[in-house]
Amino acid sequence: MVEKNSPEIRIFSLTFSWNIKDKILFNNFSAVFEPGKTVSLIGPNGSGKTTLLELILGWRKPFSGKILIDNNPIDRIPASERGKIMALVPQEERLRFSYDVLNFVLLGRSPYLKPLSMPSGTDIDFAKKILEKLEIQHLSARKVTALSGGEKRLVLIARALVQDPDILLLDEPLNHLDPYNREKILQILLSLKKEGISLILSSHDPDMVLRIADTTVLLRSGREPVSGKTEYLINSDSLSELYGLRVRIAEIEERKVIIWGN
Amino acid sequence: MTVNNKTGYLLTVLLLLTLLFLSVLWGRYPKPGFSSLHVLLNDRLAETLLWNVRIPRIITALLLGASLAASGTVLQTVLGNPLVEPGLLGVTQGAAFGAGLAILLSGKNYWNIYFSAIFFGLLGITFTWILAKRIKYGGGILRLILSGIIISALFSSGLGILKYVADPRSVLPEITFWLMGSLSSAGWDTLKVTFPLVTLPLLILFSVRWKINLLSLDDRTVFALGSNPSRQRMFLIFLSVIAVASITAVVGIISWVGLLIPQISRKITGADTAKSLPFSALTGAVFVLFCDNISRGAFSGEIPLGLITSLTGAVFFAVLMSSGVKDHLKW
Repeated sequence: MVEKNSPEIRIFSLTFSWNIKDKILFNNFSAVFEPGKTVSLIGPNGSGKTTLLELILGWRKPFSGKILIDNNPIDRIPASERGKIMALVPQEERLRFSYDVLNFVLLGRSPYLKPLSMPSGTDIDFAKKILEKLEIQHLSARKVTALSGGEKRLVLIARALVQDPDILLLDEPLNHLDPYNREKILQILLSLKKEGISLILSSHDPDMVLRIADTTVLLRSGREPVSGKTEYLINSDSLSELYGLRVRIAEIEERKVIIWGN
Repeated sequence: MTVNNKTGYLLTVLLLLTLLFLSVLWGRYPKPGFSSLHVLLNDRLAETLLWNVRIPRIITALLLGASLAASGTVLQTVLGNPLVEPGLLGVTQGAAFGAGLAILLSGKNYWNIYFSAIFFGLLGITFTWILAKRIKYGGGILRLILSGIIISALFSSGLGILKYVADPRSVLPEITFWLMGSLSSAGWDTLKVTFPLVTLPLLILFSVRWKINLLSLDDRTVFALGSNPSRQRMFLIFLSVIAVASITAVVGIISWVGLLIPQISRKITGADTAKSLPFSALTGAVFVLFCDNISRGAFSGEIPLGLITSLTGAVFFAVLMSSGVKDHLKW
């Protein structure tokens, strides 16, 4: 694989709340995510992790402020261009029809297709290559509706990678998975990082964040988000404050382990 | 059921061609049942009937089946609801009301009937869509169906009022017969108008058949895949409604085809609309042509086509829903 030349993401003075009367989720929030780095968004439920991902994607519009991808405002980038730069791996996706896995991940090619054209042999090969890369080529003829939770998550990642994105947004990528699948997906994300893809992931899982994220944004309900280097930002004090719970961090075999509660 | 796609297509095309040929020979003149081509072409009246009645009717039947089934596939996919058919979303009842209104106000002027049917068909689905967003009961699929039932009921009671005020000697029979759903009024004159209004949207749908898949996903996912979900969805719905409403204007209400045929097609070709859409159109054409042959030739009098499609459709659907491998869809 060729190394990616990922763009820089600049969040500039972002303000957003669900309704005018609701509490403000982001108030003049600014941050810069460097190309090819992995950023984690952590915070309690309802602190705006998914919303921030959706704002970066351009799916939600901020009240004020800007999100710039290599200095281009996200809402000015044409839809199909945006689909080539940025892909989303949702936490859950409602599937209404029993597509075969190969056909399903092939939908990731759509930003590259002209309005009236169909995926070509090259597109199909590309999709197959991604399935191989994620070691799920054996699923390609299976129905997406009949997959296990771990397989489904891998297929959603595959569809996003078929978009060949420079930026990958992941909404709680390890949630609801068993230890085997968590580790498998974490290894995949680490290898994507090595290829130079910028990863932005929301997580409830500081252990995982410590292993992968260069930068972390702490989303503290009702207070200003803080962003900084993961190793400095994630410590027992900041986590205690974030979740309102006693937190200790131990080190076992050179890996940090979080101990929750008393 | 897994059938090789090519075999499935080939079989359906073969079935269609055979059926087409048999349909030409089938009828009540010069004798009930099949007549040979030789007899048909040597009898003056039979030849005239063949060219001016039977053939345009066969073409209309094919268009009818193709458009109902294709738009059923499109609507089911883009609304993410495999139980949707044009008739459940207020399109058919809206179009029926529009046609009834046009007959009442201006008699048998085809252009007026078409325009009015298409207009009210679109109005029907728009109302259904708006109401579905406001209903506060159940999930998206249930809301859409509920809303469709309400809007359809409104239009059908509106139609009832039209029938009530219509002149029972001239206008009422016209509306009533039209409503039963029949191809008996199809001819070259109606086909001149219907043909482009049905084939054009169908051709456009055919050429975007792969992209339709995309719209079966969540709006946010469609957006993340580099498309504009609401604009594309509206465009596809609009095309389907134009096709259905224009054919409904000629033949009246034909139910079940738009629900049943897409379901069968998906079982055979898989969910991918690049394959299921053309297959559905083809199967729909075969099914309606077959039903219309029963309608016009199996009994001494003509039985309304709508009756036959609902009868066979309902039975087929019951069999389909209770057979085969269990689907893992949850909705």
